[in-house]
Amino acid sequence: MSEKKVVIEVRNFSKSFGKQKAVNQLSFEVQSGEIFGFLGRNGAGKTTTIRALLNIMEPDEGQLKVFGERFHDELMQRIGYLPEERGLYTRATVMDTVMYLGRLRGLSRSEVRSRTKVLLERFELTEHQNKKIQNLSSGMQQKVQIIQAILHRPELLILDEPFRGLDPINRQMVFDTLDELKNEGVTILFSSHQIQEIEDICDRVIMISNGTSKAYGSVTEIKSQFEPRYIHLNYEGDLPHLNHVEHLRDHGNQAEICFKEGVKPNQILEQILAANVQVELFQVSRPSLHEIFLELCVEAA
Amino acid sequence: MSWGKVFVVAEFELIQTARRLGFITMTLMLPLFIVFIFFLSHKSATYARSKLETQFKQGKKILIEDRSGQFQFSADGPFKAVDNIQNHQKNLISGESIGYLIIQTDYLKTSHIDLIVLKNKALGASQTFKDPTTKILRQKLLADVKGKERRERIFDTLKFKLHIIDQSGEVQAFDYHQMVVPVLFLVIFILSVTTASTFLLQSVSEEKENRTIEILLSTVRDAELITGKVIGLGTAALIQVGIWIGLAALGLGAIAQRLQIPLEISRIPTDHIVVGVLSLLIGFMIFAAIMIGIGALAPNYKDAQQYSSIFVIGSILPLYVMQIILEDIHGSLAVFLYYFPLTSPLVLVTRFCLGNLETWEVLMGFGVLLLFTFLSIFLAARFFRLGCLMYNRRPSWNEIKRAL
Repeated sequence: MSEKKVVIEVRNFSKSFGKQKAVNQLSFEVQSGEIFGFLGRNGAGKTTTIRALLNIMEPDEGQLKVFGERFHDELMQRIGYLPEERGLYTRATVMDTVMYLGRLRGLSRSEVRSRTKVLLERFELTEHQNKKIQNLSSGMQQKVQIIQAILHRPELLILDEPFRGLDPINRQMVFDTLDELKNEGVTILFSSHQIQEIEDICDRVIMISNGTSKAYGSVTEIKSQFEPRYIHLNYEGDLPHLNHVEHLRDHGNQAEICFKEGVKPNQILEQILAANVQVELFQVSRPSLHEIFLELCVEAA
Repeated sequence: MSWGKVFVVAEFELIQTARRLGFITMTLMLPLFIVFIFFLSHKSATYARSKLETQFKQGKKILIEDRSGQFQFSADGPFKAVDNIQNHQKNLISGESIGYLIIQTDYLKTSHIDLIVLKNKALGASQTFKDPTTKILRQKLLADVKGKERRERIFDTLKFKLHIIDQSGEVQAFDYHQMVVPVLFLVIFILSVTTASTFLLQSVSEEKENRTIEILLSTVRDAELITGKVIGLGTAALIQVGIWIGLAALGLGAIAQRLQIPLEISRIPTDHIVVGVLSLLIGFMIFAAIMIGIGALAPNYKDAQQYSSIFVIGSILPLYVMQIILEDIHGSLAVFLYYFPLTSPLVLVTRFCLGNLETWEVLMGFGVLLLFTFLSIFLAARFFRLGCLMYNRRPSWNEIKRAL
C-alpha cells in the first residue's frame, strides 16, 4: 500500500474582515487519495479557508500549503475548483465556456474537445453543448461547472457545496463520479453543510463553527469521542416530562432523547415505564454525525 | 505572467464581444455619429460667427490689403484697409487684429484672395471669414458694375488661400496635414474610449454579476485576466473604430476632393503621429484601468454604467470646448485641460500639433499622463481584488481605505 502524503496543510490559519474574525487558528491536513469533508454552517469560515488556500484571499496569520508549497501559479493546473459562489458566462455556449476554462488550465483545443465530449456524454449534456448557458436549467448549469472543475484531470479537487441545485438522479451521478475520481487517486476536499452527504462519502472530516475547529478525524473517530447518550424511542401513549434530559425531540410515536452526562439510560426508561407508556423500541447509541454537528456547531453558534 | 493565458483571455473576450448584437448594432450606427459630428461642427461654426461679431463690436478689425486696386475701403465696419502686412504683424500676432486679407492683383480674373491668421485659428477660419468678406466685396462690386469681370465676381463663392503667421512673424501657406493627426486622433480617441470602456465595464461587471470571477481567479492571475481583457476588448474596439474610420474616410475623402484639399499621407508630420499614437495608448490605458476599477467596485452593470458616464463625459469635454481651446491655445482653459488627467490626451495632441509647445511643456504633459496612468492601474488592481468577490454589494469606504 502506498504511503499517504499530505496534500493540503493548514496551520493556525486566521482571517478577519474588519472587526469580525472569520477564521481563528484553524489547523487540519488532507491526505492524498482521500475524500475530506469540510463541514460547517453558512458563514462558518469554509469558503474563506478555501479562498485562502487558493490564494484568492490573503491569510492574516498561519500557513496554508498545497502539495507541500504555498499556492503558486504552477499549482493551478493540478487543482480543480468548484466555488460556492459560482456562475458561468450566460451568453456563451456550453462548448465555448468549457473550451475557454479548459484552455486557461493549460489544455490544447483538441484536448479540451475530446475530454469535453466524454464528460458531456457522462453528464447527459451532449445535446445541449451548443446551447447558451442562460437557456439551461440550474441543474444543467451546475453539471457544466463540475465538468470545468474536473476537465483537466486535477490531482486535487476542491468542491464547495457541489450538490447544490441537483436533483436526486444528478446527485447520484456526481456521487459516482467522485467515487471514480477517488479510485483514480484524486484527493477531494469537499465542503458542505449537508451532513448526510459528508457522512456518506467522506473518509475524514473537520467540523468548524465560528472559524474554529470543533471536531476533526474520521467519522468513526469523531463519533467515538461522544458517550452513548442518545436514545431512539418508539412508543405508544403520552410521554411524560422527563428529568435528567438535555434535549428531547418528540415526533408523536417516535422520540430522540439526549440525556445528561452521568445519567444511566435505565433512569430514563424507568420514568417512561412509570407513566404507563408502551415502549416498542428503546435503543441507546452514540450520536450521529448530524447530532454531533447540531451539538457542536449549532449550539456553539 | 503567462502570456499564453493572457491571449486565451483576450481571444475569448474578443470573440464573445464581436458576437454580441450590441456590438454589431453599434458598428452600424456610424451614420448617426456622422450626423452628430455635423451637428457639432454647425454649432461650432455658429459659435465662431458670434465670436467674430463680438470681436467686431470690441473694435477688432480684419485687415485688408487691396493689391488689385479695385476697391476703396473705409475705416468703418469690420474691415480696415492697410497697405503692407509688415507694418501690422504685431497686431496680428497679439490678436488685436483678427485676420489679414490680401486681395491679389489678379483678383478680377482668378478670385484670388489670401487669408492670413494665427495657426491655432486656422481650423475653420475660411468658413468664419467667408460671410463678412463676401458681403463687403459684393457691396463694393455692386456699387460699380462696370466690366464683365466685376459682374462675374459678384456671384463668386469665396475661396481663400489660407496662410498662417507664427510668433516670429513668418507667414507660410497653411498645410492641412498639420490637422490630420488632431482630427483623426479626436475621432479615434473618443470612439475608442467610449466603446472599449463600455466593453470593459460590461465584461468585469458581468463576471462579477454572473459570479464567474472566482473560477477565473483560481485559474489565472488577476494581472493576466486584466491584461487579457484590455488586449481583447481593446482589439474589439479598434476593429469597430477601424470600420467606422474606413467608412468615414470614404465620406471625408469625397469632401476633401470637393474642397480641393490636397492630402498626402507622407506629408503628415512624423512627430504628430508619434505623439498621437502615444497619447492614444496612454489614454486608452487610463480609461481601461478606470473602467476595470468601476466594474469591480459597482455591485452591478447598471450602477457601473452610471459611475463610468462621469468619466466618459469628462474625457470628451474638450470636444465641447474645442473652439475656445483653438481660439486661445495657450489660455488658462487650454492649459488646465492639458494637465487635467481625463482631458489631457485630447488636449495634449491638439496643443502639440497646433500650439508650438515648448519641449518642457510637452514633457510635463506626458509626465502628468504617465503618472496618472500608473496611479489608475495601481488603484484598478487594488479595487479589482477588493470588489470582485463582493457580490450584490459595494465595498464600504473603510474597506476601500484598507485596500489602499
